[in-house]
Amino acid sequence: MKLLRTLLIILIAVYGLTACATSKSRHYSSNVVQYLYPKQKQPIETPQMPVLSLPLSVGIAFVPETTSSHRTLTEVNKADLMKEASTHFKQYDFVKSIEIIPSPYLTQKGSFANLDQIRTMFGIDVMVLLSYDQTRFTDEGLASITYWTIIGAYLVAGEKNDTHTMVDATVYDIKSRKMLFRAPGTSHIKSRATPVNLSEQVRKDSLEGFKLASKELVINLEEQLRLFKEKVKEAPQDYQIVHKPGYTGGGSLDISFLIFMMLLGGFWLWISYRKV
Amino acid sequence: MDILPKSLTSRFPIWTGLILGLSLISYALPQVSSALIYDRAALFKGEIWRLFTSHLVHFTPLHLFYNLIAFGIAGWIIEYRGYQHFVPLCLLMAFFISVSLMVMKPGMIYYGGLSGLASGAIYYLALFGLRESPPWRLVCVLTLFFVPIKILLELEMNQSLFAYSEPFTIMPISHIIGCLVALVLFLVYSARRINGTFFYCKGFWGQQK
Repeated sequence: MKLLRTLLIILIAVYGLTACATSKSRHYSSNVVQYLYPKQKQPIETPQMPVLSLPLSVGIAFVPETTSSHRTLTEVNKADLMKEASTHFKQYDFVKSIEIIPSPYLTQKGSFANLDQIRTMFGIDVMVLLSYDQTRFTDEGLASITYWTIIGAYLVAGEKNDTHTMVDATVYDIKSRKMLFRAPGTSHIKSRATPVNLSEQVRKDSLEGFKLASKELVINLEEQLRLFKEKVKEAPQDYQIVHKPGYTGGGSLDISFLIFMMLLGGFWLWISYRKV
Repeated sequence: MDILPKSLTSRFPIWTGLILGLSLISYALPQVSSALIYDRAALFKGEIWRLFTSHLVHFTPLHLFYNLIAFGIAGWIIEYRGYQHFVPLCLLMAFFISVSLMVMKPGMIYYGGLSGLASGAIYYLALFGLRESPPWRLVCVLTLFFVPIKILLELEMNQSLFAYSEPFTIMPISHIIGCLVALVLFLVYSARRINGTFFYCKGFWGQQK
């Protein structure tokens, strides 16, 4: 009897320890390369020289997810993140407008043909494609042994969550198919949860991870924009800058006014000369 | 032998000369022009001086030539005739033209050119000329008709009457504002003069002949 009890304790301990070592992971991503170059056989297009017509009309959109069934960001979340990023573009004088493109307008593996459609629909020149990669790990800690008491599963936060997020912004000139610049943003969030509120906590971490990564992305984006401006100035052979009508205004008179002024001045001189 | 009578050369148009000189310096030195130009973003960051200095910036030799000749002739006659308040006129025109562009042309990021001030100065000159004796008065009456008609045609066509290829969009609105400021200043000045209340210090801004 004593032996049986000892065996039972050992069994429980072993089960508990193995339970502690249990690890679950989930991976969500959207891939800009898969979206733009879906067929591997398709030859990679040679980008032309981009002609940037200032001020630019910019579009911003999330690249469709790799698998449509597993989505981690809702449309509302995406719109919020895009709004946040777009405010930083608006402050630049070379950006005329920024359009937030909803996800349904981007088709899976849509490639540049899809971007051309969006360009026509929204009247944009440059597209900011946001892609992401998020991996969530859930491990059970030593405290998970208390789940055996049932009450522990409600009260003890024995689940350890680890959420790694990367958001990447790639800026493309649609017409020339040329990537102008890119900027990443990453975040790492750790949290604990009880088995009962695990899914809720994971969802919170996921969204928080995106928010933090987006904040870093915006900082990097500003830096990349600054570098890009310098690059355009330093390498005019790589980028052609043209100004849309009205970007630069001039107060200018024409030849008719000049002739009129010369006649006026001449006449005044003649009168003055006569008086003298 | 002097081409001009001595009396014409004795009174040097200081302010006109200064504005023309600054325009030439700004054109010759790109660093100076970039610090003076109307830059919408910079203005919103607090670089208020650009409201006044943007008019000294020119983009091409032809742009500079047309504007400087027109402003030079108008300014010279105004200063020689001693029509008052030429400097406040220039400052007010510069300020109101820039502010109007900020409000009415939000898509315009850069602006430069003396034409708004030149148009206003010509109008101011013509208004004062109404008090002169003929035939100068007749010429001024014709000027008062010619300038608004030209500006209205420019507005209608959205370009100069004799358009020439320039890397910027011509803003006739600056000519209108320049003329309006000149008209208002002239009317205010005339009203005060009629009332016999002269607040301005004679001899400081210019002398009435």
